[in-house]
Amino acid sequence: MVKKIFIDIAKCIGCHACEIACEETHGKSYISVYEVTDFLTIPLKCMHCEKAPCIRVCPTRAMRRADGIVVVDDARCIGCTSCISVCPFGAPELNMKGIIEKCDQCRMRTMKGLLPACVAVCPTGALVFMEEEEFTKLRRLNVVKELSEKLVAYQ
Amino acid sequence: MALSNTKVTNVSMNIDVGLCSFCGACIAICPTHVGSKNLDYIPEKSADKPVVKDFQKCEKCRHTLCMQICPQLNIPSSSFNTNSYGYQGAYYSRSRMQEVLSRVQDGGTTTTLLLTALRAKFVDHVLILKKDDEWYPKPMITQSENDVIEAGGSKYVFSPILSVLEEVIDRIDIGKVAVVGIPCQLRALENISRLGFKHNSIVALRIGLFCMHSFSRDRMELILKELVVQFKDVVKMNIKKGKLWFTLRDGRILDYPLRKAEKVLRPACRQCPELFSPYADVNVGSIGAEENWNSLLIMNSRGRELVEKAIDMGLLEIKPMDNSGTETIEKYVNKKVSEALKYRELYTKEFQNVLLITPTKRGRKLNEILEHKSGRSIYLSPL
Repeated sequence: MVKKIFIDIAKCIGCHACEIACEETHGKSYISVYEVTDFLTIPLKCMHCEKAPCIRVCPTRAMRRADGIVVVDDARCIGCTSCISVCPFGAPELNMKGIIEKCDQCRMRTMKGLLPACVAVCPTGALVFMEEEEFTKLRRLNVVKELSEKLVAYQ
Repeated sequence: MALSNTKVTNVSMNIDVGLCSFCGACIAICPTHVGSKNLDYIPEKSADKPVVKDFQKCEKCRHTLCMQICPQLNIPSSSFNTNSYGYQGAYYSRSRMQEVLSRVQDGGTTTTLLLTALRAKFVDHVLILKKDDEWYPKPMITQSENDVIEAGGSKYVFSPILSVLEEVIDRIDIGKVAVVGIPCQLRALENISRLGFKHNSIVALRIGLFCMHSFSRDRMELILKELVVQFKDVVKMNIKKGKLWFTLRDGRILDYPLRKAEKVLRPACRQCPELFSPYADVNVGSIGAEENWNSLLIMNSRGRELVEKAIDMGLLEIKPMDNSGTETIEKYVNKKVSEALKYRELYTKEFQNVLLITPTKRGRKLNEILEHKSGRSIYLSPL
């Protein structure tokens, strides 16, 4: 199974560490954290969708799936920005060279056995790098923990 | 007091006034560590404090994580109370391993416990501190027993051991690690754990070391200059009977009065109330122990488990501590706490504008946000 970066929004504290780390690694941040209120902050990034709309609409097949993640083929991209219009998260960006850029889950780092930069620096574990099944389990465990804390009061 | 927006709020301010014991935790938590390492230590330039390379980068950081975990800014108020220095058991201990005993200060207990933790698979890696010939500290993460044995022996100079945590959290499958540290270093870990940061879940074992105070390498160099020796000639350091002892390469042993050395202590050490860490699993030291033995304080069940394992494996021998030992420890605890209280009060006034600046740039404090998220109350020092 492919490992992906998952976001646990409830844990995000809006420290912007992921943005800083992403900029350090790629020269530009492919993740952005929006501060809705003091307590609600939402990190947005490419989710590497299973049925990725960007892959479907790409006329030159520059957007494709490699090792389970969605990547852009620089040589094929014509910068038509179709992917930007269909992406539900607003993840792809057009760079100065007229080519689409987006999160590649730090392939250079993961190949070396390192975590993606944003995951490595996230202090609270709001960003995690794991298989989908693992993440589902983690979410359930979180719910169990929360519920059990509340239910103890009724015992 | 109005805060100017141009002022960078990060650890560099308290570093400047000497409220830094160079534990290295801020280096590990700084998000730039994956790339340019904006907060870093450069052994040749500044061997005893972290340096900020580019202040503009710090402007972008919104929660100044480095300040939140700093063990010198956030000292729990319970640490200033002598009652919090309880322990489950007090013993004298000594290693049974010849290769360890030949290298170390006293009883070699720390090294032996680390080897036990590795052999019994308590942990997968240990954070240790080596030094090069010039006594520049070289913190590293290792699995090799040889490295652990080579790292034996106290250093008495500030060492950024926690900066290695950055390597730990970067890797995908690292397992659990053991950390050996003086109280301020373990206090940084405690701050990290109190905030619920993930770095804490990797640390499975904390071995504390007794510490009256540590010296910055620069200060130590001055002392050595007075004795007309160089760092590279020193093979061993020790603090005993109110004196600093230096064993030289050519076999000579020099001493320097501790009272005189204490005049150049950093404010960070003066305000630290902890003789041994209340957050450790076991604490190892030489205060109260006889020659070539260690005093060993077991703080919790995990520590007990480790010590029992070491005895089972035939690596360690222990005997119960006598009354004179516990009394000596109590005496030093009281001394450290009362001195720290005095200096903490002084520094709170003296460095007011450093310590009182709100630690986060957003309206809410980090602990408020974390409390809201986790539903539990999180104590951060009122500073």
